[in-house]
Amino acid sequence: MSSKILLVFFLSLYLAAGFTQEPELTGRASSSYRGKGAASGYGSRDATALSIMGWGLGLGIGIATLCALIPNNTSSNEHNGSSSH
Amino acid sequence: MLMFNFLLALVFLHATTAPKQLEESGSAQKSASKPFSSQYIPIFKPPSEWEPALPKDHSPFLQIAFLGKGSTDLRPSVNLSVEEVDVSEKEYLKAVKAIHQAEPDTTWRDLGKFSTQAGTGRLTEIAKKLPIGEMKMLQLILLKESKAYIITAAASKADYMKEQPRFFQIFRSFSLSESLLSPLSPDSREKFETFFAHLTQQMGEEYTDQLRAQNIQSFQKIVAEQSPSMGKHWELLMLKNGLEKISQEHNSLKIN
Repeated sequence: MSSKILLVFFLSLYLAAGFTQEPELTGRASSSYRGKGAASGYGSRDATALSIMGWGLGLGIGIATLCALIPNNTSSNEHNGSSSH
Repeated sequence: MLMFNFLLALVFLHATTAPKQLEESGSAQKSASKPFSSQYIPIFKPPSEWEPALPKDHSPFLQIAFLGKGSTDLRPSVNLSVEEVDVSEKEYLKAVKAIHQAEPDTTWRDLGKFSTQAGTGRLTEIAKKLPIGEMKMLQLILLKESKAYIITAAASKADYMKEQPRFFQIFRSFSLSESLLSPLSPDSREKFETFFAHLTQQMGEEYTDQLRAQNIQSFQKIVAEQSPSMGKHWELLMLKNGLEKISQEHNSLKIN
C-alpha cells in the first residue's frame, strides 16, 4: 500500500513537471518545428501521457467506486436508524 | 455494447473536432497558399480489445489513441498524429531526430523503410526513461501530399517484446482512404448508401426526434456489423460521421 502511495507521489511530481514543460514545447512547435517534426515529438509525449493516464484511469475508477459506495452505506445506516444524527 | 460505442462516439465527436479546428485555424493561411491539400482519411486497425482514449491536454496534432492492458503500470498504447508539412522526408526525419535527441533520458533510432497499405513509410524507435519505468516506442512516419502521418505505438520495456508483433500489424494496416465507405466491400457499401439515401428522404419530409432515435439505432447496427473486419478506428470515425449526419437539421448529406 505504501509503495502505491509513493508511486502516486512520484507520478504527481512527474505530471506536474510535464505540465510546466508544456509552454516550452508549444513554443517550439509553433515556431521552428511546426511542420517539421512537431507531430512526432508530440506523438511520443502523448503516448507517454496515455500510458500513465491508463494507470491513472484504473486508480480513478477505484476511487469513483469507493465514493459511490460510501454514500450508499451512510444512507442505509440512516434508514436503519443507526445514524449518529 | 452498442450503447457503449455510441457514447464513445459522442465523446470523440466533441474531442476530435476541437483539435482539428485548432490545427486548421493555425495553418489556415499556410493552406490557402498551397496548390493542393490532401483530403485522405487516415485509418489503422488497433488490436480489437484495446480501448479508445484521449489524454488530458493532448496535442493539437493528435487524432485518436487506443490503450491496451500491460503487465506493468505503463499500459501499451497507440496514437495517430497528423501535421501539415512543407519539407521532404529526409528533412522531416532530420528534424524528428533533433527533437527526440533534445529530450532528456531519451534515445532515438531510424530503423529504415516500412511498408503499409498507405505506402512506404519510415520506422523509428524511441526509448524513454520515466520515473515509473522505462518505455519503448515504435513510430511510423509517412509523408504524403503535404501531410505527415505519425503512428506512435508504446509499451513498457517489460511488455515491448510481446507487443512488438502487434505494433507491426497496426502499422501494416495503416491506410489512407478517400472516403470511409471506399474500403468496404460493394455489398456493405450499398447498405450504407441505402441508409443515407433513406435518411436524405426523411429529412426532406418531417424529421421527428423519434425518427432520429430510430436512425441512430439502425446506423449503429450497420456499423457494428462491419467493425470486426474494419477495426475500432474505422468504427469510431464512421459512428462520428454518421451521427453528425443523423443529427443534422438540414438536408445536406455527404459521406466523407
